[in-house]
Amino acid sequence: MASKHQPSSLAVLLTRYDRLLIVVALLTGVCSWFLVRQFQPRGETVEIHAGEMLFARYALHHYQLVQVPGPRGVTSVMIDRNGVRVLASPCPGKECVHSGIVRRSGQMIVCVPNRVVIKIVARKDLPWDMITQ
Amino acid sequence: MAVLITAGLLLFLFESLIPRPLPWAKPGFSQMVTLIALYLWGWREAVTVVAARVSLAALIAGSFAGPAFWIALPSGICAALIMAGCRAVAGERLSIIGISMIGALTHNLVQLVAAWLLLVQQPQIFYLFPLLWLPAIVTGILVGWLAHASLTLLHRVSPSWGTNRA
Repeated sequence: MASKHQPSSLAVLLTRYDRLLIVVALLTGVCSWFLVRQFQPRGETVEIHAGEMLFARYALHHYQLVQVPGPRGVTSVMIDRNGVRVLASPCPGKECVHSGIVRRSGQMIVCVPNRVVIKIVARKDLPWDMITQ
Repeated sequence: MAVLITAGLLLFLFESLIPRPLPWAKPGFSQMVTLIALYLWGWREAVTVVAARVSLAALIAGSFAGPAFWIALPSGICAALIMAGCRAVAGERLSIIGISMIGALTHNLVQLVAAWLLLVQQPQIFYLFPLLWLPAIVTGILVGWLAHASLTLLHRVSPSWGTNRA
């Protein structure tokens, strides 16, 4: 009696509709990823670290120009309703300036040469609290 | 059926021992048992197996009738029912792997909705959706493949087993 369940590789097993389903599911996942990002809450606070120290902490909504001192000079940071960006930096590569605007919690701008770290933090990060069976 | 429930429990215990690279994703190997029950017998048996498995697993883990249990039970049952429905509708067009993937995705979706209704009651919980959905595609395929391999073995050992052969 020939069994329908023969051992075979994934490529043989998958039907055309299986493949279609995988593609659709992947697309749904990726689209939802971007959709969710749109709705994600903005960070609440921006922390600016200079070297090892927390230099300043500001609410994200008020306009503010901050001069952060570092070993190479002063990094100018602008905070406004759109987010946080580095306006000018004494570092050679200007990576921090080119990082553009950050606004979502978890995002950061780092200037290694001038030892400035700008971090967006949420009011609280929700930890997961249980695991289902 | 009892054998399958036990196997599901063992898989669940085994699964809780292996480390997880992503804390929110779980391979869901015990879903394999639901699939096997579905392909061997039918939807009633699949639902019975998953309900018994989740209840016993909750007893072992000490979370019976707690919130985690009330999330896991409907997800498992819905996944089993949807898999049975899709299998009946699609017939030969979807292989066991496709069905398994549908099951995994359903499971995650219902889990989120249940968590939303029971626990969090904030729509923010759906921010987790892509984090659950994308791994579920992978684990769904993997589990379907394993279930296929198990069914192959079962049929080789005892070709007359099961009443509802695909």
